[in-house]
Amino acid sequence: MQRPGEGGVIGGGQRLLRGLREIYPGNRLLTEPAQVAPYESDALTSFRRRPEAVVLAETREEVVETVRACHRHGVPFVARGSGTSLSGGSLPVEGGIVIGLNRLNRVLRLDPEERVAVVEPGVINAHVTRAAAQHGLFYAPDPSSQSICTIGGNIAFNSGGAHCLKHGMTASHVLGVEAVLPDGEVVRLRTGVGPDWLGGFVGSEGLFGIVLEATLKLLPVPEATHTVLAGYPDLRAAGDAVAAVVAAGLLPVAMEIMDELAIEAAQSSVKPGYPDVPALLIVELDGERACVDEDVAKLAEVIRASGATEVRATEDPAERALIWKGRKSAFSAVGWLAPDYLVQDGCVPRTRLGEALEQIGRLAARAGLRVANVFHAGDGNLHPLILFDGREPGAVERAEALAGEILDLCIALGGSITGEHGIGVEKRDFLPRMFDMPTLGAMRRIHAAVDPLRLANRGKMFSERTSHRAPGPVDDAVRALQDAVREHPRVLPRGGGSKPALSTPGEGVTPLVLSGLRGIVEYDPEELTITALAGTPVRVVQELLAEHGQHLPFDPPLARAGATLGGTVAAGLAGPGRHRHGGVRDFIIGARFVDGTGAVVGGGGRVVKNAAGFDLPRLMVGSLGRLGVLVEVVFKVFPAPPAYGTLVAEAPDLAGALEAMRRTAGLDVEALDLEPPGRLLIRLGGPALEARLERLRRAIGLPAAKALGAPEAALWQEVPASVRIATSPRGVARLDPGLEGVPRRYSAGATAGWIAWPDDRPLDELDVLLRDAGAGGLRLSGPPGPVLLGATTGGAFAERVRRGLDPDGRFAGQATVREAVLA
Amino acid sequence: MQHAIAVDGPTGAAMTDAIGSCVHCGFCLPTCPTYVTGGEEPHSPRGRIFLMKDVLEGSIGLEEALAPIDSCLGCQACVTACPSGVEYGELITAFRAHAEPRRPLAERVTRALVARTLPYPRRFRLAARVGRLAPKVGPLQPMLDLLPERLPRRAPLPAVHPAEGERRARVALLAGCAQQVLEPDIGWATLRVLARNGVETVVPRSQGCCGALAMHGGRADQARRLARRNLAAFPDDVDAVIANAAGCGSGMREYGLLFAGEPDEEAARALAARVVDVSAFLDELGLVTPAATKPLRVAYHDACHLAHAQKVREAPQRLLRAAGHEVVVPDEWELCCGSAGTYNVEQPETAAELGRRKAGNLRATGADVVAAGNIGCLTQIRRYLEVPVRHTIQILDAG
Repeated sequence: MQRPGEGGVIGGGQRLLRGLREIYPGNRLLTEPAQVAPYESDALTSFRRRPEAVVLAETREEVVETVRACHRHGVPFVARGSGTSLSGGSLPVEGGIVIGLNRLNRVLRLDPEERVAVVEPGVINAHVTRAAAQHGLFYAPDPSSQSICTIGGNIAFNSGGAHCLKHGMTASHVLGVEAVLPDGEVVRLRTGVGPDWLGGFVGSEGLFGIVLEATLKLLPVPEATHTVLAGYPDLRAAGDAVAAVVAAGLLPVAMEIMDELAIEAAQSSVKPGYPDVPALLIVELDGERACVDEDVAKLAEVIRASGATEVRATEDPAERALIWKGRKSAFSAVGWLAPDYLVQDGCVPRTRLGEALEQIGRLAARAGLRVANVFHAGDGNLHPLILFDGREPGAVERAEALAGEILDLCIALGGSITGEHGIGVEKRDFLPRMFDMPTLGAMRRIHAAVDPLRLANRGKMFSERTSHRAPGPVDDAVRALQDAVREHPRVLPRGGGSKPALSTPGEGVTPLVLSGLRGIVEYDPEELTITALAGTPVRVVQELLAEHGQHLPFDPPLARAGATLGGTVAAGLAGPGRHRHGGVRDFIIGARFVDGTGAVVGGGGRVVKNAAGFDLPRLMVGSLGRLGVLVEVVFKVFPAPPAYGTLVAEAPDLAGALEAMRRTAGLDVEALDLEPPGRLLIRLGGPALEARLERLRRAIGLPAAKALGAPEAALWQEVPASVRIATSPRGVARLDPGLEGVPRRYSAGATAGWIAWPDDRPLDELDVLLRDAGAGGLRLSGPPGPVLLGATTGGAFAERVRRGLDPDGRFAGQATVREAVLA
Repeated sequence: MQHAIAVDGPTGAAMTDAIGSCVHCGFCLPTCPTYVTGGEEPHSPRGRIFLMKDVLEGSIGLEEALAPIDSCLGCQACVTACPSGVEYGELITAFRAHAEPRRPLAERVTRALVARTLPYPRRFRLAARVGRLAPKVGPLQPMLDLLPERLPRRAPLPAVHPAEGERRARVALLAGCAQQVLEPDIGWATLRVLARNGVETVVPRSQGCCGALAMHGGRADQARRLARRNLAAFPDDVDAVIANAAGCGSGMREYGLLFAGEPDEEAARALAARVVDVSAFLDELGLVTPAATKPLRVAYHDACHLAHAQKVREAPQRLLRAAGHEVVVPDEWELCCGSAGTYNVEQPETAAELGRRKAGNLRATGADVVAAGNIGCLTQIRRYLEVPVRHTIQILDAG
């Protein structure tokens, strides 16, 4: 067997094996050929590598010890859950070991009140929902392999699924992780204030280490779910129907298209009873009964006008399960149609789906190969399945060449080479075609800073290839910005100045004023995305979106004060609307920024699903200007509810209000604020507001008043506050008594808060209060000084990523209160 | 999946077809009893497929790969779960036949002992008696552990059992071997229920063991010897050949593959095509008997060789419902109970773990009684569950 590198590595391998024998009993350390051969591949069998050993870890301590031993001996390791990666993400490294995590499969804690599940990395995706079902909750990300794929792998690859359209990818459903870095250091990362280290970790394809424990967000099972099957004479017509659904202002939870071959494959295996049509569209609506009913009527109209030849609808759980089983088995089911296949995972802007499909058809015909198409139409995420017979000479090569052409096509159409399967080993050579050299360079620097020895999942994501992609356009303003970053030892970006504590430079720090970088770069309402320069005022964007009945659902705050998009992202700020659909991190899909070396780096893209490379856009969220200076940002947007109504309910005290909050589960609540001691503001959007508010009033069971129209809007005007906090309902219960007398309002179901901390009270006091409650705080205004308060996360991971993006420390950071005290 | 296997003949084709159509997606893993309990890739369907491929290609020695091959229960839950249509059952049966003569001698002796005892009612009774008198008789002990404290009295079935009332059909019954020793009432219940529903049953005297245990244990020659008896014994002039033990029924339905390329292939395929489980037959025919006077909450246990190997899941449940009972299906219905032919003899620890797990899931249904269509399952589940466990036909018989 070929072994990597020098003789020293072999020696290291043998010393490692001795070390592993001390950690694992014999039956959990596999080294015999027949024991390790079955680990040679995951679900991408065209790559096979035999590992030196496989360990089956049963505790997190074993995982940490194993990683440390690998680091000590310089031996690469690959983490593996169920081995279902379609991009070779868990392909072993020759001379390395596989750390099997599938026995770490305990749901450690299920908290129906806070709606979280704390799980080990080897827990099967579907088992999270199984465990949560008794509380009427579920875990939203649903990759097709959900019956077996594990949470650890889902996090490593930021897995998607059919229901991402409304719910977002895995990154939006992971609230925290405990992870071991490639050198054995253990860190805790979680959502909150400050840089989104967690967002940067998710989707890193195992290159940043191994998840030991994850805290997952659970959602209440929707009251109603309605699934429609519509048959069309061709793919184009089905694709047009998708565009029409979006244009009608509907936000289905899933929109899928399957072509004739994919339908045939599904019928051969699962027999889901699909209509016999050339193209099938599956649309699913879910939510509160009244809203679904209205949407169903609207959808029926759209479908009727779209030229569907056959339409079926169901709300029967068994029928729905079968429909989805057919869809989710489609990849493997093409095994019925051909001896071999390659599955691709490109993403294109939604409006260019039809064009992409036609071109794929042409490319396939030219290559003399059949292609089955099954895709997440709502997200523009294509899954062309290239069918071939590997026994025919040259067939594999032709199929691979076609796959490459399809990826190039996706790039050319402004999309991504992977929507959800990741780069893995399969698309390593394509990453440089998607990202320019400065971007690739930034990613590699981060990688080198986190794992200098390249031990964790070596050989994935990056290849040796350089990029020949032309860097994005750089105008004079951006060039001036680059120069400024290169010339000044310490710089601090400033947009609209609406958060003075974050944008007022300290001594020796040069301000970078970005208000000149303004303007909408691209907005096509049918695309549900918007691209704008970072200095564009939030208000300009909101007004433009409103003209088309759309919005940024996270309600970026301080718009009236002149907040810019860049500042909103850098501060990671979201308003009340974060409650239903998530915050900045859940809507940013692309970003260009100047990093600490002065390079213009462009992460993400303009498609809503994108698993290519590290998630740099998410890393920018809450980065406070410490990782880069934002130049351009891309958001996905949603249709806006035509009207809102609010119920103002009065509980006798905080505990009563927190308790009453939970009774909103299953209703489509847009925003949920709490004004201590006991006032709840519960906002609904959409149809039948009067009736729904009445229903809500009864469900809450507290004295309550309804508000509509202008008085309703006034209820949601921003309250003056100097500190934004990130917490949880339990955190609020612990924290609030200490804030007696301080004006404050909690938001997003008591997971965030706005506090008007008096300028004359010491910040240390608030810092301690927050810390004791496990909450984090971000100071937005007030006297100069440290801005991060309370509990912060990131540890060694944060330091390394920062070093990767800003090696010379030019982005003058704001210390936390604790750091300032220590200094 | 690509392979470079050069094994000829019909069994070679069965193996390479299955290996070729596996795409290694892993959808089989959550239904595989050994993977679910042990969490080791070699002890999973796709892991075994990799190993069988490597053995057949010559890159891994057979002996090294035998442990995971032997740990397979042959339950075929993976076949139900497989979206790609991999005929894993055919693969493992063919591979075991390929492996058997290449096994170490001591192992072959033990395996032969079990294979030459369990399927023969008289030998089994004898072994049982000897086992009682002289406990711990080595390799047969786990098999004898399956036996109840007292064996029921022998109750041989008649050659012909007439229909009551108007005759709607005429069938031949496979009596089953272990079943006749362990629970002759199942055969009698079958005759009674069939008769009440207008079916005349013949029980061919010259029939023998179906050969499934031998076939699935890799003893293809012994299996063919046993099967040939049945090819001769079962008449052509019946509407169906009825099996009331899922393992036997599925074994007979595999006769075509067993005789692939042999002179008897055509006869074997013809007989195999006429074999049907008693539940599927009655469901098709339609019950005419009145509903139960005492409706029960019945937990229906899917015997692997009924649900996965014969794809019979709904028929028994429909019959129980038609008889007035409430039917519930336990969690993890697709998971094997650990009986699996001679499995609880060969891999007692895994079998016990699966038995406990199955009992837990059945207990959680809160049922009055458990119904299953296979004697092996009945014996296994009873060891771990205090709720009564009956053959589906016995519950229908009780009325």
